[in-house]
This record gives sequence, C-alpha cells and structure tokens, in this order.
Amino acid sequence: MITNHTISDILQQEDLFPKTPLVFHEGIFGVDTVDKLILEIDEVGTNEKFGERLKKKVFNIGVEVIQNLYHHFEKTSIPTEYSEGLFTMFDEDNVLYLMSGNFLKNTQIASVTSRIAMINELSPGELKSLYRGVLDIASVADRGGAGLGFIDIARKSGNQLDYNFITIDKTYSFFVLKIKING
Amino acid sequence: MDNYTLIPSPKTPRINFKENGSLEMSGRSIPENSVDFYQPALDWVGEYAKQPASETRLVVKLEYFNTSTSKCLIEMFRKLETITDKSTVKIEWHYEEEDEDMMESGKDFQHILKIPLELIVSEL
Repeated sequence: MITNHTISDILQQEDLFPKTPLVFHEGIFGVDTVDKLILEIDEVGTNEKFGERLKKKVFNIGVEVIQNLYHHFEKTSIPTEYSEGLFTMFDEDNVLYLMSGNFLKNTQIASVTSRIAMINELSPGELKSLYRGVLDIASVADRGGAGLGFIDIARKSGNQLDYNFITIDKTYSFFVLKIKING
Repeated sequence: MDNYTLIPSPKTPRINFKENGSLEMSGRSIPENSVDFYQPALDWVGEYAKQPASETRLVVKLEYFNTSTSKCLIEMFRKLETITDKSTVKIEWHYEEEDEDMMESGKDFQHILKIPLELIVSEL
C-alpha cells in the first residue's frame, strides 16, 4: 500500500471508482486471487441479463486482463509498496466495463502508450491482420502472451482501449486500463 | 509410444492423444503458464511426428482459451504440418454457433496454417 494512498483512494481522487462494481479486487495478484476472480467473472456471467455471447466475451477478456496483471507482478521486480493491483467489472448505463490497474515505472509509460495508441488506431480488419501476424511468429520460448494480449482484448471488446497514467511520485505512476465491452 | 491423456481441471482441458492418430482436446484452456502446461503434450506430438499413423485427426473443442494457449496451439499445429508427407492430417475446430470469437479464432489458425482446418458448429 502506498503511504496515504490506497488504490481505492487513487480511484476516488480521479473519479474512477466504479459506482456499482459487480466484481472488485484491490491487492496482490497471486494464483489464488486469479482463481477467485475467474470464478467471480464466470458467476456474474450467469446473470440472465447477459446473453450467451456477452457472457463469453466478458469471460475471455476478463481472464486475459486478470492474467496480464498476474504476469506483470510475476515478471517485474516491484517494491512491496507498489505490488498491488486492481481488477473490477462494473455496469455503467447498461454497458459492461472491465478495468485493471497497476503501478509501473514512469520510464515504462512511453512504451505502453505507444503500444496501445497503435492498437487504437487500427480498424477491426487491421487488428485481425496484426493478431494473425503476431500469432504466426509466436514462440513458446517467450513467456506470457507474446504481445497478443492487448490486441486480443481490443479485438474482442470491439472498442478502443481507454487508458491513463496517474502520477504517484517521481518514479511510479498508476496505469489504468478501462475496457468497454460491446454486447 | 504410449497414449497421452490428461483429465480436465477448471483451467485446463481434457487431452486424449492416441498413437492411432486420434487426437482430441476439449474444455477450457486458461492456465497462467500455458507453456509449462502444454510442454508434455508438445513433446508427445513431437514423438508422434517421428512415426505418425497414416491418418491424423486433431479435434479441438475448446470453450475458452487464453492468448498464451494460442501460442501453444500454433506450435502443436506446426508440428503436425511437418508430417504431411507421412500422414493425412486434418484439424477439426469446433465452436458453438453463437460464439463468433471462437469462430474467428479458428479462422485465424486456418489463415496461418498450411494443413486443412475445418470449422465445425457443435454443442460443446
């Protein structure tokens, strides 16, 4: 926990705290948390208000987002005070959103921004081509999703990825990724 | 060689690879570390590829899979691409009718691969 700043505090300050969260977790993202959250998004999907198609989309994208967080904390050496993350799923004006958050170094902002900005500029057809191109050269030698994660999330959600970086101090920022899921 | 079978878990699929060329996987494939999970299956397919049956049919009936699984799937399919001079290879990609994303995933593999991949609508 950041001194004087829990993740909830950061969300409140930035007016990002979900009003009606269906799933909410702030804290460590170990295997147990991943399993618990996957169960929760699966259960929310059984709600009759979501059709089968939306249920599958939410589960697919949710798993990708949750596991992105898991891998982020697994592979980067982050001081304890920055080792907590956020995952939430909420309903806003009858549209479903998934949101994730994690601390990263300010020096990483440029590369993350350029990756997402590039994805956001692509049409659905171009996203499909990019995905296929990356999959074609994917290797099991690389850990994680081989850079397919953001592309897959953008493609399945049918929307641009909404993101921002909230400055915490001179070394760290809090990266928020908000995904609107088309039904 | 022995057949390779795995019972499913909430995050990993049922796998039933037989040396007679009948290979099937079904269920969910969303492990955090897909490479670790799939390595034995990839090794098995590698061994199988040395002396494959005259016909090889891989049936994929996945309900969900994560992007790290897709890397392992492409690796597995690539191994099957190498045996087409010894075996007639076919992949069946099953998906539920309303699951457009799973159909698109099948098309992605179909586009990349040189071996036939048939898209089949079914009840998973």
